[in-house]
Amino acid sequence: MLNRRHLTLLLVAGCLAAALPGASVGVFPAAHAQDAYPMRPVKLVVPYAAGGGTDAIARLVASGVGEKLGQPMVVENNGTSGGNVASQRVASADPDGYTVLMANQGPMVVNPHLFKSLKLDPLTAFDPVTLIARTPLVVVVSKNSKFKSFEEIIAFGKANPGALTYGSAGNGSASHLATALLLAQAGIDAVHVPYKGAGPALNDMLGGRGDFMVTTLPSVLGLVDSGEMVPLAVTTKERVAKLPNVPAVAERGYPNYESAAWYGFAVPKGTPQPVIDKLRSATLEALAAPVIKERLGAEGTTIVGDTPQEFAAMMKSESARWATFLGQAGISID
Amino acid sequence: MFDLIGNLGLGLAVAFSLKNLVLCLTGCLVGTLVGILPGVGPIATISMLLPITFGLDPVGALIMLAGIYYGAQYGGSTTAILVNIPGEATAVVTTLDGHQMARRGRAGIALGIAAIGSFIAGTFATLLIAALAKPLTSLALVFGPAEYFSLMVMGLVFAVVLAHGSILKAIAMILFGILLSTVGIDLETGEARMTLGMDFLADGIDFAVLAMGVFGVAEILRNLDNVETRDVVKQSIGRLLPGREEMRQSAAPILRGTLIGSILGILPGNGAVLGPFAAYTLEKKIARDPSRFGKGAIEGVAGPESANNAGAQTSFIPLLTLGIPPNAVMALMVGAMTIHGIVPGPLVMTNSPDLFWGMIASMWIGNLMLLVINLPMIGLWVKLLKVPYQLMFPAILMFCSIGIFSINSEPVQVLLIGLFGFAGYILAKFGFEPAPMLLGFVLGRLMEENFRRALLVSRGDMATFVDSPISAGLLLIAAIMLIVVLLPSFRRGREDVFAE
Repeated sequence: MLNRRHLTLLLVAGCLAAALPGASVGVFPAAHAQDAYPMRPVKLVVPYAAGGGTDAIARLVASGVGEKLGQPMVVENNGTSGGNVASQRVASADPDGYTVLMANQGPMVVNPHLFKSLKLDPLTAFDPVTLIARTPLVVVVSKNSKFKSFEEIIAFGKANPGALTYGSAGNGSASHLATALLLAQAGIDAVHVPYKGAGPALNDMLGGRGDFMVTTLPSVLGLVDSGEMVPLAVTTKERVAKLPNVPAVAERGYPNYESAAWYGFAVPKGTPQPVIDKLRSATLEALAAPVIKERLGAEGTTIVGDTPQEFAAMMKSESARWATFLGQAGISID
Repeated sequence: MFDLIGNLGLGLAVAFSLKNLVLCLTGCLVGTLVGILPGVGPIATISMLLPITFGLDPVGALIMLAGIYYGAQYGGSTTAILVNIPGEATAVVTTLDGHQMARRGRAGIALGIAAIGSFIAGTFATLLIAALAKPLTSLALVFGPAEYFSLMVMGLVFAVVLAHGSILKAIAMILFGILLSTVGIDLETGEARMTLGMDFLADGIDFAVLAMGVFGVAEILRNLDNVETRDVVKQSIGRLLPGREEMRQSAAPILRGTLIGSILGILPGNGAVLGPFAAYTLEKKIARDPSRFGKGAIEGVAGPESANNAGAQTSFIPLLTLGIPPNAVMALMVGAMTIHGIVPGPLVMTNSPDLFWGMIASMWIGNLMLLVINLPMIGLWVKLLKVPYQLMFPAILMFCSIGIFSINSEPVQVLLIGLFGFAGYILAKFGFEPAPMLLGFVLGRLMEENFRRALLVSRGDMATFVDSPISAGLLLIAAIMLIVVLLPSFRRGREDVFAE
């Protein structure tokens, strides 16, 4: 009896609630969806396997953004075929702000020119939200290396074509492309040994089985701090705060050289502007939190946080740059 | 020596705080429960559970993650023993004798000896890490592509030499496994190989998909067409825990397994996968009656399980001393450190000694907790075996599918386990066993990558494989083993690693 009465009460209450204008969210979700965003957890798709540098940044930022949005931001990893599966999946998801791509140079501006089979044009398939951070790459050698400066290794490479060996985090990775760009500008012919991730490559560089490597600062910072690896140059235009005594490649004879890893948020094309704005302001708030600043700063990553227009313009010029370079260098993946 | 005691004291003080003990226990418990799902190995478990450590301080978070890792590892062994599905490469050999023991009503003893062996191995490996982590690091650096290739060659030759029944079929399966391992985008040239133009094959075949297909699903198909063997446990379940006799039998295998596993675990590039295979091979080789193996020999569980856990532990060495992760699980640990604001590298030991030694001490505590959690749980697991098969097999299939889907949210992968299951069933009908294929699959990929890397570094000079003394030594052992098998007088003594 009690049960039935409860049920009746609930039903009546439900009908009343539905009839009241203020409580109409459940009945007419479309009308107020944008104001109420987010009403459920937001999915952040990371186009790399769990455990890498991108993943670490994504998870750190996602926890902060989730707090600001009032709904958790859940990280989902899919590193299949260079991140293309992840970017294609986000591109075809509903443009409602509940599926966000951790957009970085691989899937956004490099892969379209690298993977022959990729049909997606990331510049038109996504609405950029904001650039989150930039990480410099750094040219490193083992502490036992005969090369003590950037100039020495470049001079040796020019004088001895094909004699240098370099490791990379993988074919088409930021590490590989930054090196290839450097070698092309310097006119050096060197042998590329790809690994699966920066870790195993660094292991062989430490063991003296390669001459040098260009890798993201966070991946090698611990070894640099302890003196096991020696940084010879950084790939950003300017020097980086973490390594004030290390020159930039650009100031050592290659003024046009620049290569950095970067991370941002992008959502499927057609996402309503209010939703993008809300996501962006939550992201910027999260990035301003001391804990995120401190942790990203500790590994040498610079926090950015810009406008969708700036982010879009940056990707456009990056994309054009890599298209030209990859075409000339003849680097491609099936 | 004083240093060591002082450091371990510091570590124990950190690890024994109530908060960290609770975190360690939670990690072990949750890891075990998730890891027990078929196909959900340590990697999937850790990446699934990583977010729950966010709110913790770095020491607590890493202690909990380490707990999840051991728990998942042990949970995987439980699945291997109970339902014959290896969650990851290192559990493949556990299925061979562990599941046979379960079929003979000795599941409890198999689970018990796995837990006890793992604990002993874990204790030894913890001490090894505490005392010798620094000097052992140089061993990891000596191993380059050439050495690694030769090690893999030796691993494969062991498999061939010790395979019995039809040696030809074993070789065929190993080669088939190697062939399957080459599917995907070529690491060096970016060329797609044998992907049939399908995107989901671009990164190759996932080990868990293959293993779950040829072991789990194929086993279900086999059981379904044979009414007599349908119920997993044919005989009544005997004692739940190993007795004195079993402990006596297992003591030496546990010690040998621990040693082998500890050494292989230090090597970069996932050397730990060879540990259980090597331990099994050794046990069988020196056993007085090798024919018992594959029919539920306790040594075949004790040795590999100890090697597995010792390797799992010592693979922390390159991570802790260099910040370089030797395998995917350790890569996740690096990610976790970064998220918690620690820069992994040689300086962790000096900059955050509480983290470094606290983690090492918690390894041992974690192993102890696993023992405490799991011994009472054995009774529960064994009861699962009494569930009628018509209820059991849909449940196994469902959990396999959930496990596989959780790895990459890729529905195609779930279909693939069905395909591999069917293939495994057909192959088994013709007397081809899946274990050599999985060994070929795991070692093949490492072998090819390192072979090509070695040749790139040496500019195509094959002499690189004999110039290094370690590589030459490993190849020599492999060659001697091959000669042994080709001599007819030895052939009679040939035994079987893989028979089920």
